[in-house]
Amino acid sequence: MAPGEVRPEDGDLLLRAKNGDRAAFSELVRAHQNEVYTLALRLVADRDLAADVTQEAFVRAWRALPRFRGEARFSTWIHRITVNVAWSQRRRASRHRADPLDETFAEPVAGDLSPERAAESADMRGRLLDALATLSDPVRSVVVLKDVYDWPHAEIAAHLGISVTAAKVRLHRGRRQLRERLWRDMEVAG
Amino acid sequence: MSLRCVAVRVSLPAMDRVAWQEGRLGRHATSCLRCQAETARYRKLHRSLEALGHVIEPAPPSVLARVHHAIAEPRPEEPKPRGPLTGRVAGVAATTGAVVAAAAGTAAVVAWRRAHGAT
Repeated sequence: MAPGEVRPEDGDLLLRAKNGDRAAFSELVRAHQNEVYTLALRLVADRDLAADVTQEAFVRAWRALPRFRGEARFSTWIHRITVNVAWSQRRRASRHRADPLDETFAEPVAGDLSPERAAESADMRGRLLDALATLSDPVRSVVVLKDVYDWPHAEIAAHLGISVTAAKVRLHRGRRQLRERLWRDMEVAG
Repeated sequence: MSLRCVAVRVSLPAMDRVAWQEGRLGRHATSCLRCQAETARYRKLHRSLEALGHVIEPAPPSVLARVHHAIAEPRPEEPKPRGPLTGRVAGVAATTGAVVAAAAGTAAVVAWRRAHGAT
């Protein structure tokens, strides 16, 4: 299922889960856990911490579900919770340095790339994830939410508790740092 | 490197998704070989970040079990909706009501005694 896609069955599951049906909520978790885990992983760049964030996000969602009015999609709602949890947990765990991601990365969901292009793409993705992991948490959060998930600046700023200007400054800095780390041997100026 | 090249290098990290899609690049960026190369790097960076949004990582199998375990406990009590008179407001209202009632009672007793000539 593509990110952000509407799942028609969520409506019934949501209703049952709101009324305390744990089996229905487990179905929602099963359906959304990969997306939530991926978002958490991009934000915290640490697999163990991302798993913790995913768990905590769903637990908070379960507790808050009776107050969920359905004004946003469940996926949007759980993504917002995930960003909040990731932000608070990362700050708590900030004394532990995150190791750069070293696993083989999943292939894109869709794409008809030639083997050469696919290999190049996978190589670039691996280098990009390594570079993202070296960014500071505040800068990486903004880059991920804006450039990977295409959140509006205002929403990013609101979730991270910063001004829109500060979000834009961090984004600019993050892109420059990524460019420098991905092409170290190439000239950088300006 | 000319001042125009420097200006291009400052502007490239500020370009958002729409700007890249619309190819909003100045004349210098498209004519200078150095700036073309730098633009290509930022375009690749932008596309790679965007493509990352389509890559889904499988959550560890333990996540579902951990969530299941964590939600086994009953949900915390919902905070009761606050009525129009709660907390300090309710206290003030009750006190005021009691004082008014006492005053009315006293006035009624005094009026009754006067009316009946009591001493």
